[in-house]
Amino acid sequence: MFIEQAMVDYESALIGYASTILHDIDLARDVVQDTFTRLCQQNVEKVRDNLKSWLFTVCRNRAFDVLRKDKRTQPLDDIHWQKVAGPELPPDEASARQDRLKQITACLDRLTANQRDVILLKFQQDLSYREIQAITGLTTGNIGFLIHTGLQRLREILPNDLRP
Amino acid sequence: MHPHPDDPQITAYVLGELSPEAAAAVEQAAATRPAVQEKIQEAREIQRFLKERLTTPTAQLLPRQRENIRRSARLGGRSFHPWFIPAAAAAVLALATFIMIRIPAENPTQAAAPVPAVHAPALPVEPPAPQIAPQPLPAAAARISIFTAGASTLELPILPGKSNLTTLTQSIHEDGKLPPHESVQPDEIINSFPLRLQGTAAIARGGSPPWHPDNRDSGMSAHLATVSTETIACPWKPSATLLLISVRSGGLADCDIKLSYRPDPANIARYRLLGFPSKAGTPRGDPPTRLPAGAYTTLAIEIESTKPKGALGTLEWSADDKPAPSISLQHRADAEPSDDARFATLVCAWSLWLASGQPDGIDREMLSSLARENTSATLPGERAELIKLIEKSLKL
Repeated sequence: MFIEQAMVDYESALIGYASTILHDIDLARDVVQDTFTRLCQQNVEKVRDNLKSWLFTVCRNRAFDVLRKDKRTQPLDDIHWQKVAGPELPPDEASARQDRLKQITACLDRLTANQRDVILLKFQQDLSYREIQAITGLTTGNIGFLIHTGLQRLREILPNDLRP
Repeated sequence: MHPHPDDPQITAYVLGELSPEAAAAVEQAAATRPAVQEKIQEAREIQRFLKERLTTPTAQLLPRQRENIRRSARLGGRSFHPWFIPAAAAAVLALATFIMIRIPAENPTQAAAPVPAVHAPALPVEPPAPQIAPQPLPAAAARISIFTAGASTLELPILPGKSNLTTLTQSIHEDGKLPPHESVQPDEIINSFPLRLQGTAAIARGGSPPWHPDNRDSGMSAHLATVSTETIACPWKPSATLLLISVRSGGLADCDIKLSYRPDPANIARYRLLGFPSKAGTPRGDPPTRLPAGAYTTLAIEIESTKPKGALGTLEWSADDKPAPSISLQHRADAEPSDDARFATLVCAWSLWLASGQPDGIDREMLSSLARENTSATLPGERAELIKLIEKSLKL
Protein backbone atom coordinates (compact mmCIF):
# COMPACT_ATOMS: atom_id res chain seq x y z
CA MET A 1 0.00 0.00 0.00
CA PHE A 2 2.86 2.37 0.86
CA ILE A 3 4.55 1.77 -2.49
CA GLU A 4 1.25 2.05 -4.40
CA GLN A 5 0.50 5.38 -2.72
CA ALA A 6 4.02 6.62 -3.37
CA MET A 7 3.58 5.79 -7.06
CA VAL A 8 0.25 7.60 -7.17
CA ASP A 9 1.74 10.68 -5.49
CA TYR A 10 5.12 10.98 -7.20
CA GLU A 11 5.29 8.85 -10.34
CA SER A 12 4.37 11.60 -12.77
CA ALA A 13 6.46 14.32 -11.10
CA LEU A 14 9.53 12.08 -11.04
CA ILE A 15 9.15 11.14 -14.69
CA GLY A 16 8.77 14.83 -15.59
CA TYR A 17 11.90 15.70 -13.61
CA ALA A 18 13.97 12.83 -14.98
CA SER A 19 12.84 13.48 -18.55
CA THR A 20 13.98 17.10 -18.30
CA ILE A 21 17.42 15.92 -17.21
CA LEU A 22 17.66 13.07 -19.71
CA HIS A 23 15.59 14.50 -22.58
CA ASP A 24 14.17 11.03 -23.10
CA ILE A 25 10.89 9.83 -21.67
CA ASP A 26 11.75 6.13 -21.99
CA LEU A 27 15.01 6.53 -20.10
CA ALA A 28 13.15 8.66 -17.56
CA ARG A 29 10.63 5.89 -16.99
CA ASP A 30 13.45 3.38 -16.48
CA VAL A 31 15.08 5.70 -13.94
CA VAL A 32 11.80 6.14 -12.08
CA GLN A 33 11.20 2.39 -12.09
CA ASP A 34 14.66 1.96 -10.53
CA THR A 35 13.82 4.63 -7.99
CA PHE A 36 10.66 2.87 -6.84
CA THR A 37 12.40 -0.51 -6.90
CA ARG A 38 14.98 0.90 -4.51
CA LEU A 39 12.20 2.27 -2.36
CA CYS A 40 10.86 -1.27 -2.05
CA GLN A 41 14.14 -2.30 -0.46
CA GLN A 42 14.06 0.43 2.18
CA ASN A 43 12.78 0.30 5.70
CA VAL A 44 9.48 2.15 5.31
CA GLU A 45 9.76 3.78 8.73
CA LYS A 46 13.09 5.35 7.82
CA VAL A 47 11.92 6.99 4.61
CA ARG A 48 8.27 7.71 5.33
CA ASP A 49 8.82 11.17 6.85
CA ASN A 50 11.04 12.50 4.08
CA LEU A 51 9.72 10.41 1.22
CA LYS A 52 9.57 13.21 -1.33
CA SER A 53 13.18 14.25 -0.80
CA TRP A 54 14.29 10.63 -0.75
CA LEU A 55 12.60 9.87 -4.07
CA PHE A 56 13.94 12.97 -5.81
CA THR A 57 17.45 12.32 -4.44
CA VAL A 58 17.52 8.75 -5.74
CA CYS A 59 15.87 9.73 -9.02
CA ARG A 60 18.31 12.62 -9.56
CA ASN A 61 21.39 10.51 -8.77
CA ARG A 62 20.18 7.72 -11.01
CA ALA A 63 19.38 10.13 -13.86
CA PHE A 64 22.85 11.68 -13.66
CA ASP A 65 24.39 8.18 -13.61
CA VAL A 66 22.51 7.33 -16.78
CA LEU A 67 23.46 10.65 -18.32
CA ARG A 68 27.13 10.07 -17.57
CA LYS A 69 27.08 6.53 -18.91
CA ASP A 70 25.06 7.49 -21.93
CA LYS A 71 27.22 10.49 -22.78
CA ARG A 72 24.20 12.09 -24.33
CA THR A 73 26.01 15.12 -25.68
CA GLN A 74 24.53 15.00 -29.14
CA PRO A 75 21.96 17.65 -30.01
CA LEU A 76 18.47 16.73 -29.00
CA ASP A 77 16.50 15.47 -31.90
CA ASP A 78 12.87 16.16 -32.50
CA ILE A 79 11.85 12.61 -31.73
CA HIS A 80 13.19 12.92 -28.20
CA TRP A 81 11.39 16.19 -27.71
CA GLN A 82 8.21 14.88 -29.14
CA LYS A 83 8.29 12.06 -26.60
CA VAL A 84 9.05 14.39 -23.69
CA ALA A 85 6.27 16.76 -24.74
CA GLY A 86 3.72 13.97 -24.70
CA PRO A 87 2.65 11.97 -27.73
CA GLU A 88 -0.87 11.62 -26.35
CA LEU A 89 -1.64 15.32 -26.77
CA PRO A 90 -3.42 16.71 -29.84
CA PRO A 91 -0.78 17.38 -32.54
CA ASP A 92 -0.99 21.18 -32.32
CA GLU A 93 -0.74 21.29 -28.56
CA ALA A 94 1.99 18.68 -28.46
CA SER A 95 3.96 20.61 -31.03
CA ALA A 96 3.60 23.90 -29.14
CA ARG A 97 4.56 22.29 -25.85
CA GLN A 98 7.47 20.57 -27.55
CA ASP A 99 8.74 23.91 -28.84
CA ARG A 100 8.37 25.60 -25.48
CA LEU A 101 10.20 22.83 -23.62
CA LYS A 102 12.90 22.66 -26.23
CA GLN A 103 13.58 26.40 -26.10
CA ILE A 104 13.61 26.76 -22.36
CA THR A 105 15.67 23.65 -21.74
CA ALA A 106 18.20 24.75 -24.33
CA CYS A 107 18.58 27.97 -22.33
CA LEU A 108 18.81 26.07 -19.04
CA ASP A 109 21.57 23.94 -20.55
CA ARG A 110 23.69 27.08 -20.79
CA LEU A 111 23.63 27.60 -17.02
CA THR A 112 26.04 25.89 -14.66
CA ALA A 113 25.02 22.36 -13.65
CA ASN A 114 24.17 23.47 -10.11
CA GLN A 115 22.12 26.46 -11.30
CA ARG A 116 20.17 24.29 -13.70
CA ASP A 117 19.67 21.62 -11.07
CA VAL A 118 18.24 23.91 -8.39
CA ILE A 119 16.09 25.86 -10.87
CA LEU A 120 14.49 22.64 -12.10
CA LEU A 121 13.82 21.43 -8.56
CA LYS A 122 12.41 24.81 -7.54
CA PHE A 123 10.35 25.82 -10.55
CA GLN A 124 9.40 22.51 -12.09
CA GLN A 125 8.94 20.47 -8.94
CA ASP A 126 8.03 23.30 -6.57
CA LEU A 127 10.34 22.06 -3.85
CA SER A 128 11.39 24.24 -0.94
CA TYR A 129 14.99 25.30 -0.32
CA ARG A 130 15.10 22.79 2.55
CA GLU A 131 13.91 19.96 0.31
CA ILE A 132 16.42 20.96 -2.35
CA GLN A 133 19.08 20.99 0.36
CA ALA A 134 18.18 17.40 1.29
CA ILE A 135 18.38 16.32 -2.36
CA THR A 136 21.50 18.16 -3.50
CA GLY A 137 23.49 18.49 -0.31
CA LEU A 138 23.89 22.24 -0.93
CA THR A 139 23.20 24.73 1.87
CA THR A 140 20.02 26.82 1.71
CA GLY A 141 22.17 29.95 1.38
CA ASN A 142 23.99 28.45 -1.57
CA ILE A 143 20.70 27.34 -3.13
CA GLY A 144 19.29 30.88 -2.80
CA PHE A 145 22.40 32.33 -4.41
CA LEU A 146 22.38 29.77 -7.26
CA ILE A 147 18.72 30.41 -8.02
CA HIS A 148 19.15 34.16 -7.91
CA THR A 149 22.20 34.21 -10.17
CA GLY A 150 20.76 31.49 -12.39
CA LEU A 151 17.62 33.54 -13.00
CA GLN A 152 19.69 36.63 -13.75
CA ARG A 153 21.74 34.70 -16.29
CA LEU A 154 18.64 33.12 -17.77
CA ARG A 155 17.07 36.53 -18.29
CA GLU A 156 20.18 37.59 -20.19
CA ILE A 157 20.28 34.60 -22.51
CA LEU A 158 16.59 34.19 -23.22
CA PRO A 159 15.78 35.19 -26.79
CA ASN A 160 13.70 38.36 -27.06
CA ASP A 161 10.62 36.47 -28.19
CA LEU A 162 10.78 34.27 -25.12
CA ARG A 163 11.33 36.88 -22.45
CA PRO A 164 8.54 37.25 -19.93
CA MET B 1 18.80 45.09 7.25
CA HIS B 2 17.84 46.60 3.90
CA PRO B 3 18.47 44.30 0.94
CA HIS B 4 20.25 45.57 -2.11
CA PRO B 5 18.38 45.23 -5.46
CA ASP B 6 20.76 42.37 -6.45
CA ASP B 7 20.45 40.58 -3.14
CA PRO B 8 19.41 36.88 -3.42
CA GLN B 9 16.94 37.66 -0.63
CA ILE B 10 14.73 39.40 -3.19
CA THR B 11 14.34 36.17 -5.14
CA ALA B 12 13.95 34.19 -1.92
CA TYR B 13 11.20 36.62 -0.86
CA VAL B 14 9.26 36.07 -4.09
CA LEU B 15 9.65 32.32 -3.71
CA GLY B 16 8.31 32.40 -0.15
CA GLU B 17 11.56 31.20 1.37
CA LEU B 18 12.24 33.99 3.86
CA SER B 19 11.43 34.12 7.55
CA PRO B 20 8.68 36.61 8.49
CA GLU B 21 11.30 39.04 9.79
CA ALA B 22 13.44 38.89 6.64
CA ALA B 23 10.34 39.17 4.44
CA ALA B 24 9.25 42.27 6.36
CA ALA B 25 12.67 43.82 5.72
CA VAL B 26 12.35 43.21 1.98
CA GLU B 27 8.84 44.70 1.96
CA GLN B 28 10.10 47.73 3.84
CA ALA B 29 12.93 48.18 1.31
CA ALA B 30 10.50 47.79 -1.59
CA ALA B 31 8.23 50.48 -0.15
CA THR B 32 11.04 53.01 -0.15
CA ARG B 33 13.24 51.95 -3.09
CA PRO B 34 11.76 51.60 -6.59
CA ALA B 35 14.78 49.53 -7.73
CA VAL B 36 13.93 46.84 -5.17
CA GLN B 37 10.27 46.95 -6.19
CA GLU B 38 11.34 46.51 -9.82
CA LYS B 39 13.50 43.49 -8.96
CA ILE B 40 10.61 41.89 -7.09
CA GLN B 41 8.41 42.36 -10.14
CA GLU B 42 11.05 40.83 -12.42
CA ALA B 43 11.45 37.85 -10.12
CA ARG B 44 7.68 37.28 -10.11
CA GLU B 45 7.54 37.41 -13.88
CA ILE B 46 10.32 34.90 -14.38
CA GLN B 47 8.82 32.65 -11.72
CA ARG B 48 5.50 32.55 -13.60
CA PHE B 49 7.30 32.11 -16.90
CA LEU B 50 9.40 29.18 -15.72
CA LYS B 51 6.55 27.40 -13.98
CA GLU B 52 4.50 27.55 -17.14
CA ARG B 53 7.33 26.59 -19.49
CA LEU B 54 8.77 23.78 -17.42
CA THR B 55 5.48 22.02 -16.90
CA THR B 56 5.76 18.52 -18.28
CA PRO B 57 2.74 16.50 -19.30
CA THR B 58 1.42 13.84 -16.98
CA ALA B 59 3.46 10.75 -17.79
CA GLN B 60 3.14 7.35 -16.22
CA LEU B 61 5.17 4.22 -15.94
CA LEU B 62 4.39 1.41 -18.33
CA PRO B 63 2.25 -1.45 -16.96
CA ARG B 64 5.19 -3.85 -17.02
CA GLN B 65 7.32 -1.37 -15.07
CA ARG B 66 4.57 -1.02 -12.46
CA GLU B 67 4.36 -4.78 -12.25
CA ASN B 68 8.13 -5.02 -11.72
CA ILE B 69 7.89 -2.52 -8.88
CA ARG B 70 5.00 -4.40 -7.28
CA ARG B 71 7.00 -7.60 -7.53
CA SER B 72 9.93 -5.92 -5.80
CA ALA B 73 7.56 -4.64 -3.13
CA ARG B 74 6.31 -8.17 -2.54
CA LEU B 75 9.84 -9.51 -2.29
CA GLY B 76 10.78 -6.57 -0.03
CA GLY B 77 14.38 -6.29 1.02
CA ARG B 78 15.02 -9.99 0.97
CA SER B 79 18.55 -10.90 0.20
CA PHE B 80 20.04 -14.33 -0.12
CA HIS B 81 23.44 -15.55 0.86
CA PRO B 82 25.61 -16.62 -2.05
CA TRP B 83 25.23 -20.24 -1.01
CA PHE B 84 21.46 -20.04 -0.96
CA ILE B 85 20.73 -20.64 -4.64
CA PRO B 86 22.89 -23.76 -5.13
CA ALA B 87 21.72 -25.09 -1.77
CA ALA B 88 18.09 -24.49 -2.69
CA ALA B 89 18.60 -26.12 -6.10
CA ALA B 90 20.11 -29.18 -4.42
CA ALA B 91 17.21 -29.34 -1.98
CA VAL B 92 14.66 -29.13 -4.78
CA LEU B 93 16.45 -31.88 -6.70
CA ALA B 94 16.53 -34.09 -3.61
CA LEU B 95 12.85 -33.45 -2.95
CA ALA B 96 11.89 -34.20 -6.54
CA THR B 97 13.86 -37.46 -6.43
CA PHE B 98 12.23 -38.38 -3.14
CA ILE B 99 8.74 -37.73 -4.53
CA MET B 100 9.40 -39.77 -7.65
CA ILE B 101 10.70 -42.70 -5.59
CA ARG B 102 8.05 -42.53 -2.89
CA ILE B 103 4.97 -42.25 -5.11
CA PRO B 104 4.73 -45.37 -7.23
CA ALA B 105 2.84 -44.94 -10.47
CA GLU B 106 0.75 -48.04 -9.73
CA ASN B 107 -0.89 -46.46 -6.71
CA PRO B 108 -1.95 -42.94 -7.57
CA THR B 109 -4.28 -42.52 -4.61
CA GLN B 110 -2.01 -43.45 -1.73
CA ALA B 111 -1.15 -39.92 -0.68
CA ALA B 112 -4.65 -38.57 -0.76
CA ALA B 113 -5.75 -37.91 2.79
CA PRO B 114 -9.44 -38.24 3.66
CA VAL B 115 -11.14 -34.88 3.75
CA PRO B 116 -13.20 -34.36 6.92
CA ALA B 117 -16.97 -33.98 6.68
CA VAL B 118 -18.02 -30.46 5.90
CA HIS B 119 -20.47 -28.74 8.23
CA ALA B 120 -19.32 -25.17 7.88
CA PRO B 121 -21.47 -22.74 5.94
CA ALA B 122 -20.17 -22.32 2.44
CA LEU B 123 -18.75 -19.03 1.25
CA PRO B 124 -21.27 -17.09 -0.80
CA VAL B 125 -19.81 -18.07 -4.13
CA GLU B 126 -21.33 -16.87 -7.38
CA PRO B 127 -23.88 -19.45 -8.48
CA PRO B 128 -23.89 -19.62 -12.31
CA ALA B 129 -22.59 -23.16 -12.26
CA PRO B 130 -24.70 -25.98 -10.82
CA GLN B 131 -23.48 -27.99 -7.85
CA ILE B 132 -21.04 -30.54 -9.16
CA ALA B 133 -19.83 -33.58 -7.37
CA PRO B 134 -16.05 -33.20 -7.21
CA GLN B 135 -14.21 -35.60 -9.40
CA PRO B 136 -11.53 -37.75 -7.77
CA LEU B 137 -8.24 -35.94 -7.71
CA PRO B 138 -4.89 -37.57 -8.24
CA ALA B 139 -2.36 -38.07 -5.49
CA ALA B 140 -1.72 -35.05 -3.32
CA ALA B 141 1.84 -34.24 -4.17
CA ALA B 142 2.79 -30.97 -5.77
CA ARG B 143 3.40 -31.14 -9.48
CA ILE B 144 6.98 -30.63 -10.41
CA SER B 145 8.42 -28.64 -13.27
CA ILE B 146 8.66 -30.29 -16.65
CA PHE B 147 11.52 -29.49 -18.98
CA THR B 148 10.29 -28.56 -22.44
CA ALA B 149 13.04 -30.60 -24.02
CA GLY B 150 11.68 -33.74 -22.38
CA ALA B 151 7.93 -33.17 -22.76
CA SER B 152 6.60 -31.15 -25.66
CA THR B 153 2.92 -31.56 -24.69
CA LEU B 154 1.11 -31.38 -21.39
CA GLU B 155 -2.40 -32.80 -21.36
CA LEU B 156 -4.46 -30.74 -18.97
CA PRO B 157 -7.06 -32.16 -16.59
CA ILE B 158 -10.59 -30.73 -16.57
CA LEU B 159 -11.44 -30.67 -12.88
CA PRO B 160 -14.52 -28.54 -12.25
CA GLY B 161 -15.08 -29.77 -8.67
CA LYS B 162 -15.02 -27.01 -6.07
CA SER B 163 -15.84 -28.39 -2.63
CA ASN B 164 -12.41 -27.84 -1.09
CA LEU B 165 -12.90 -24.19 -0.20
CA THR B 166 -15.68 -25.02 2.27
CA THR B 167 -13.32 -27.42 4.06
CA LEU B 168 -10.68 -24.73 4.30
CA THR B 169 -13.22 -22.20 5.50
CA GLN B 170 -14.30 -24.50 8.29
CA SER B 171 -10.76 -25.17 9.35
CA ILE B 172 -9.70 -21.53 9.37
CA HIS B 173 -12.86 -19.78 10.55
CA GLU B 174 -14.33 -22.39 12.91
CA ASP B 175 -11.41 -24.51 14.08
CA GLY B 176 -9.01 -21.57 14.11
CA LYS B 177 -6.17 -23.50 12.51
CA LEU B 178 -4.60 -23.96 9.11
CA PRO B 179 -5.83 -27.07 7.31
CA PRO B 180 -3.46 -30.04 6.91
CA HIS B 181 -1.30 -29.49 3.83
CA GLU B 182 -2.53 -32.69 2.18
CA SER B 183 -6.19 -31.64 2.42
CA VAL B 184 -5.68 -28.51 0.30
CA GLN B 185 -6.63 -28.83 -3.35
CA PRO B 186 -5.49 -25.71 -5.24
CA ASP B 187 -7.29 -26.94 -8.36
CA GLU B 188 -10.59 -26.73 -6.53
CA ILE B 189 -10.01 -23.51 -4.66
CA ILE B 190 -9.55 -21.51 -7.83
CA ASN B 191 -12.64 -23.16 -9.32
CA SER B 192 -14.77 -21.45 -6.69
CA PHE B 193 -14.48 -18.18 -8.58
CA PRO B 194 -15.70 -17.55 -12.12
CA LEU B 195 -13.03 -15.57 -13.94
CA ARG B 196 -13.18 -13.31 -16.96
CA LEU B 197 -9.70 -13.42 -18.39
CA GLN B 198 -8.75 -10.78 -20.91
CA GLY B 199 -6.19 -12.52 -23.09
CA THR B 200 -6.76 -14.66 -26.16
CA ALA B 201 -9.91 -16.80 -26.21
CA ALA B 202 -11.56 -19.34 -28.49
CA ILE B 203 -15.04 -20.84 -28.74
CA ALA B 204 -15.96 -24.39 -29.68
CA ARG B 205 -19.22 -24.93 -31.55
CA GLY B 206 -21.01 -28.09 -32.50
CA GLY B 207 -24.42 -29.75 -32.81
CA SER B 208 -27.61 -27.71 -33.09
CA PRO B 209 -28.65 -24.92 -30.77
CA PRO B 210 -32.02 -25.19 -28.97
CA TRP B 211 -34.90 -23.80 -31.03
CA HIS B 212 -35.31 -20.07 -30.82
CA PRO B 213 -36.87 -17.62 -33.31
CA ASP B 214 -33.54 -15.81 -33.63
CA ASN B 215 -31.76 -19.02 -34.58
CA ARG B 216 -33.97 -19.85 -37.56
CA ASP B 217 -32.00 -20.29 -40.74
CA SER B 218 -28.96 -18.79 -39.06
CA GLY B 219 -26.95 -21.91 -39.75
CA MET B 220 -25.23 -21.36 -36.41
CA SER B 221 -24.22 -24.34 -34.35
CA ALA B 222 -24.49 -24.59 -30.58
CA HIS B 223 -21.88 -23.03 -28.32
CA LEU B 224 -20.20 -25.94 -26.55
CA ALA B 225 -17.43 -24.31 -24.57
CA THR B 226 -15.08 -21.35 -24.33
CA VAL B 227 -11.41 -21.34 -23.41
CA SER B 228 -9.98 -17.97 -22.41
CA THR B 229 -6.45 -17.16 -21.31
CA GLU B 230 -4.34 -14.43 -19.78
CA THR B 231 -0.71 -14.16 -18.73
CA ILE B 232 0.57 -12.32 -15.67
CA ALA B 233 3.95 -11.95 -14.02
CA CYS B 234 4.48 -14.76 -11.52
CA PRO B 235 4.81 -13.06 -8.12
CA TRP B 236 6.77 -15.83 -6.43
CA LYS B 237 9.21 -16.51 -9.28
CA PRO B 238 10.52 -13.41 -11.06
CA SER B 239 11.77 -15.45 -14.00
CA ALA B 240 8.35 -16.99 -14.67
CA THR B 241 5.04 -16.06 -16.22
CA LEU B 242 1.76 -17.43 -14.97
CA LEU B 243 -0.57 -18.63 -17.72
CA LEU B 244 -4.19 -18.69 -16.58
CA ILE B 245 -6.66 -20.78 -18.54
CA SER B 246 -10.38 -20.63 -17.93
CA VAL B 247 -12.59 -23.31 -19.49
CA ARG B 248 -16.30 -22.58 -19.43
CA SER B 249 -19.13 -24.76 -20.65
CA GLY B 250 -21.62 -23.31 -23.12
CA GLY B 251 -24.35 -24.28 -20.68
CA LEU B 252 -26.44 -26.52 -22.94
CA ALA B 253 -25.10 -29.96 -22.16
CA ASP B 254 -22.17 -31.78 -20.63
CA CYS B 255 -19.20 -32.04 -22.94
CA ASP B 256 -15.77 -33.61 -23.09
CA ILE B 257 -12.93 -31.13 -23.27
CA LYS B 258 -9.52 -32.38 -24.25
CA LEU B 259 -7.03 -29.64 -23.67
CA SER B 260 -3.29 -29.67 -24.05
CA TYR B 261 -0.51 -27.13 -23.74
CA ARG B 262 2.33 -27.19 -26.26
CA PRO B 263 5.18 -24.97 -25.07
CA ASP B 264 7.29 -23.19 -27.66
CA PRO B 265 10.62 -25.00 -27.37
CA ALA B 266 12.48 -21.95 -28.68
CA ASN B 267 11.33 -19.78 -25.77
CA ILE B 268 10.26 -22.03 -22.92
CA ALA B 269 12.75 -23.81 -20.67
CA ARG B 270 10.27 -25.52 -18.38
CA TYR B 271 6.74 -25.31 -17.05
CA ARG B 272 4.59 -26.56 -14.21
CA LEU B 273 0.86 -27.02 -13.89
CA LEU B 274 0.01 -25.71 -10.45
CA GLY B 275 -1.75 -28.10 -8.12
CA PHE B 276 -1.50 -31.86 -8.08
CA PRO B 277 0.02 -34.50 -10.31
CA SER B 278 -1.33 -34.66 -13.81
CA LYS B 279 -0.72 -37.39 -16.28
CA ALA B 280 2.74 -35.95 -16.82
CA GLY B 281 3.54 -36.15 -13.09
CA THR B 282 2.25 -39.65 -12.37
CA PRO B 283 1.59 -41.36 -15.68
CA ARG B 284 -1.60 -43.31 -15.06
CA GLY B 285 -4.49 -43.03 -17.49
CA ASP B 286 -5.88 -40.03 -19.33
CA PRO B 287 -6.64 -36.83 -17.47
CA PRO B 288 -10.32 -36.18 -16.66
CA THR B 289 -12.14 -34.39 -19.47
CA ARG B 290 -15.79 -34.11 -18.40
CA LEU B 291 -17.15 -30.57 -18.13
CA PRO B 292 -20.78 -30.52 -16.94
CA ALA B 293 -23.23 -28.07 -18.49
CA GLY B 294 -22.80 -24.58 -17.05
CA ALA B 295 -19.60 -25.48 -15.21
CA TYR B 296 -16.25 -23.78 -15.38
CA THR B 297 -12.73 -24.57 -14.33
CA THR B 298 -9.47 -22.65 -14.18
CA LEU B 299 -5.95 -23.94 -14.63
CA ALA B 300 -2.68 -22.14 -13.94
CA ILE B 301 0.66 -22.99 -15.51
CA GLU B 302 3.92 -21.51 -14.28
CA ILE B 303 6.10 -21.00 -17.36
CA GLU B 304 9.79 -20.21 -17.29
CA SER B 305 10.90 -18.52 -20.49
CA THR B 306 14.39 -18.19 -21.85
CA LYS B 307 13.52 -14.84 -23.43
CA PRO B 308 11.84 -11.80 -21.87
CA LYS B 309 9.06 -11.77 -24.44
CA GLY B 310 7.76 -13.87 -27.27
CA ALA B 311 5.64 -16.91 -27.93
CA LEU B 312 4.76 -19.09 -24.98
CA GLY B 313 3.28 -21.89 -27.07
CA THR B 314 -0.23 -22.94 -28.02
CA LEU B 315 -3.30 -24.48 -26.45
CA GLU B 316 -4.80 -27.25 -28.55
CA TRP B 317 -8.26 -28.38 -27.62
CA SER B 318 -11.38 -30.15 -28.73
CA ALA B 319 -14.96 -30.31 -27.49
CA ASP B 320 -16.78 -33.63 -27.83
CA ASP B 321 -13.93 -34.76 -30.08
CA LYS B 322 -14.49 -31.88 -32.51
CA PRO B 323 -11.34 -29.79 -32.95
CA ALA B 324 -11.67 -26.25 -31.64
CA PRO B 325 -9.58 -23.23 -32.71
CA SER B 326 -6.15 -23.46 -31.12
CA ILE B 327 -4.94 -20.52 -29.06
CA SER B 328 -1.58 -18.94 -29.67
CA LEU B 329 -0.07 -17.74 -26.41
CA GLN B 330 2.05 -14.62 -26.31
CA HIS B 331 3.74 -13.00 -23.36
CA ARG B 332 2.50 -9.39 -23.42
CA ALA B 333 4.87 -7.61 -21.08
CA ASP B 334 3.20 -4.23 -21.53
CA ALA B 335 -0.35 -5.40 -20.89
CA GLU B 336 -1.92 -4.32 -17.62
CA PRO B 337 -3.28 -7.50 -15.99
CA SER B 338 -7.02 -7.69 -15.46
CA ASP B 339 -8.45 -7.62 -11.95
CA ASP B 340 -9.52 -11.24 -12.45
CA ALA B 341 -5.99 -12.30 -13.34
CA ARG B 342 -4.65 -10.53 -10.27
CA PHE B 343 -7.24 -12.25 -8.13
CA ALA B 344 -6.45 -15.65 -9.66
CA THR B 345 -2.77 -15.06 -8.91
CA LEU B 346 -3.60 -14.35 -5.27
CA VAL B 347 -5.69 -17.52 -5.08
CA CYS B 348 -2.92 -19.60 -6.65
CA ALA B 349 -0.27 -18.20 -4.30
CA TRP B 350 -2.43 -18.72 -1.21
CA SER B 351 -3.40 -22.26 -2.27
CA LEU B 352 0.23 -23.23 -2.84
CA TRP B 353 1.18 -21.75 0.50
CA LEU B 354 -1.57 -23.69 2.28
CA ALA B 355 -0.75 -26.88 0.39
CA SER B 356 2.93 -27.01 1.14
CA GLY B 357 3.98 -24.47 3.73
CA GLN B 358 6.28 -22.00 2.03
CA PRO B 359 6.92 -23.21 -1.49
CA ASP B 360 8.80 -21.13 -3.99
CA GLY B 361 9.35 -18.26 -1.61
CA ILE B 362 5.65 -17.63 -1.03
CA ASP B 363 5.34 -16.34 2.50
CA ARG B 364 2.92 -14.36 4.65
CA GLU B 365 4.43 -11.04 3.62
CA MET B 366 3.97 -11.73 -0.06
CA LEU B 367 0.44 -13.02 0.42
CA SER B 368 -0.45 -10.02 2.52
CA SER B 369 0.86 -7.73 -0.22
CA LEU B 370 -1.03 -9.60 -2.95
CA ALA B 371 -4.21 -9.46 -0.89
CA ARG B 372 -3.84 -5.71 -0.42
CA GLU B 373 -3.41 -5.25 -4.17
CA ASN B 374 -6.70 -7.05 -4.71
CA THR B 375 -8.63 -5.17 -2.08
CA SER B 376 -11.00 -2.50 -3.32
CA ALA B 377 -14.36 -1.05 -2.41
CA THR B 378 -15.97 -2.64 -5.45
CA LEU B 379 -14.74 -6.17 -4.82
CA PRO B 380 -17.53 -8.75 -5.33
CA GLY B 381 -18.79 -10.32 -2.11
CA GLU B 382 -17.31 -13.79 -2.54
CA ARG B 383 -13.91 -12.35 -3.32
CA ALA B 384 -14.05 -10.03 -0.32
CA GLU B 385 -14.89 -13.09 1.80
CA LEU B 386 -11.87 -14.93 0.45
CA ILE B 387 -9.61 -12.00 1.27
CA LYS B 388 -10.95 -12.06 4.83
CA LEU B 389 -10.25 -15.79 4.93
CA ILE B 390 -6.71 -15.23 3.67
CA GLU B 391 -6.19 -12.47 6.20
CA LYS B 392 -7.29 -14.76 9.01
CA SER B 393 -5.17 -17.65 7.75
CA LEU B 394 -2.09 -15.44 7.75
CA LYS B 395 -2.57 -14.78 11.46
CA LEU B 396 -2.80 -18.46 12.41
